[in-house]
Amino acid sequence: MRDQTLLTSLERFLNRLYEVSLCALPAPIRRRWAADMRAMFARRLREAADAGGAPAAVALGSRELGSIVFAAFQSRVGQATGRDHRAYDAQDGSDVWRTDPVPAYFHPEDRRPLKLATMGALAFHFGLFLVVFPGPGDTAVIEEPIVQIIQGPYVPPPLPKEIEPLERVVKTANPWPIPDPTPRDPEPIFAREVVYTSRVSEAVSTEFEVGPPAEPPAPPRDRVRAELDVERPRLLEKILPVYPELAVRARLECVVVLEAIVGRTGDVVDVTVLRGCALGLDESARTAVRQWKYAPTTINGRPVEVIATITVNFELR
Amino acid sequence: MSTKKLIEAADVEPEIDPESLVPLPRLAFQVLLALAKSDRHGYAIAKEVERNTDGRTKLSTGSLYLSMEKLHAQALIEESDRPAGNDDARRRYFRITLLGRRVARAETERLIHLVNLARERDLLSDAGFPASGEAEAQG
Repeated sequence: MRDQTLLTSLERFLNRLYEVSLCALPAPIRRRWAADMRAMFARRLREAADAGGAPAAVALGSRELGSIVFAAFQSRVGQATGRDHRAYDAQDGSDVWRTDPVPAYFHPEDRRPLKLATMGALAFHFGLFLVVFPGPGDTAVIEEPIVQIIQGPYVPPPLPKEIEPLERVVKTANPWPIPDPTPRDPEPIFAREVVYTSRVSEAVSTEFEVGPPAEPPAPPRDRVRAELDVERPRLLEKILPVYPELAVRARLECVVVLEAIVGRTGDVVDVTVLRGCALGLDESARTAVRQWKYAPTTINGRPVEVIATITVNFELR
Repeated sequence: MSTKKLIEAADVEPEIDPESLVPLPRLAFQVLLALAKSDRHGYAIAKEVERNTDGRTKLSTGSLYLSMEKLHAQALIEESDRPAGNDDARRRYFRITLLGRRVARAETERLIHLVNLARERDLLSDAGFPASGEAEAQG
């Protein structure tokens, strides 16, 4: 029972498939013969299924489908190559073939989808021309950082000129501790000219103002912020921070922002780290700034404390 | 075929030399042979062709109807009225036209001529062929 149901479904499917494949035939042939072909196919399929079951039905179906494709190909080629110089006289609606001196490549009904398909194909291929595919020449190249390996003896870096006056401090502090971890086998140094310096720049910030702004006589404040209208505290003695060895090895570059309170005598009384860095950079900056010496700042002839914001750039060169 | 129909067929058929259409394709000749005696529908034509060739020719619908399409286009066959007593509306019956008959005759004469040629050259007699015993001896 179940087999019979399956067989019926298979027959129905094959019949439908056959109907679809009939669309491949040129329109006049299809119109003239399709009904007969369908009926004949259905009958033969029924016979085959009765005789040999599903395998026979499938075999017949595939053979018939193939023959349809072949017939469609043959008839269309016959028309296209002009072997059948026939045109379908559709003007008066008569169902008559007439011999035409001009090859009728396709029936008007067939010509329309053919035109559409041709135009579509042309447009598609034209579009393909416009698409820019990546070629071998214009692939994206990820630029490697310029690294040049020079193996050689360690050359002590020349001292920047601007810190020459502080040479004494620098020497004692040994601010460029670049020990060779493997002395017997010189370590490759990853730079063209490796110069490790610590550059320290000091900035007096201008962004703040403490106290009531609109009081002209301004009672003398003990502690003022270094502002624009206040004379910038003059730095008398500047000690460069030591670049910590660990940070050099880790090639850590960072900016430490400090807030220093300059006392009335010009000594740095207190240093607060506003923005710190790891590996001892802020500690080093703090220690150095603690030793700085400013000229005393006076307002109205009276020495005051000044808050200065100091930015220390630790950069490796 | 009645006389009237013959006249009609003679009227509508263009002046085509039957000799120009021979040799016929093998399948086309088989279809004409199947329709020579009586009008048939497509399935009956296929069955007749199979019977005439002792089942050696297995017609597919595609090749059969493509062949019929060509025969129809050349006006060698045409659709006929459904015979009385057959009420299956789906079936269309076909008959051979006068031109079809002429062409089939021309094709037959061509084949007869070939057969006669073969007979003259002793292809149909035993002459020239080794006897069965000799053939085995040679084989």
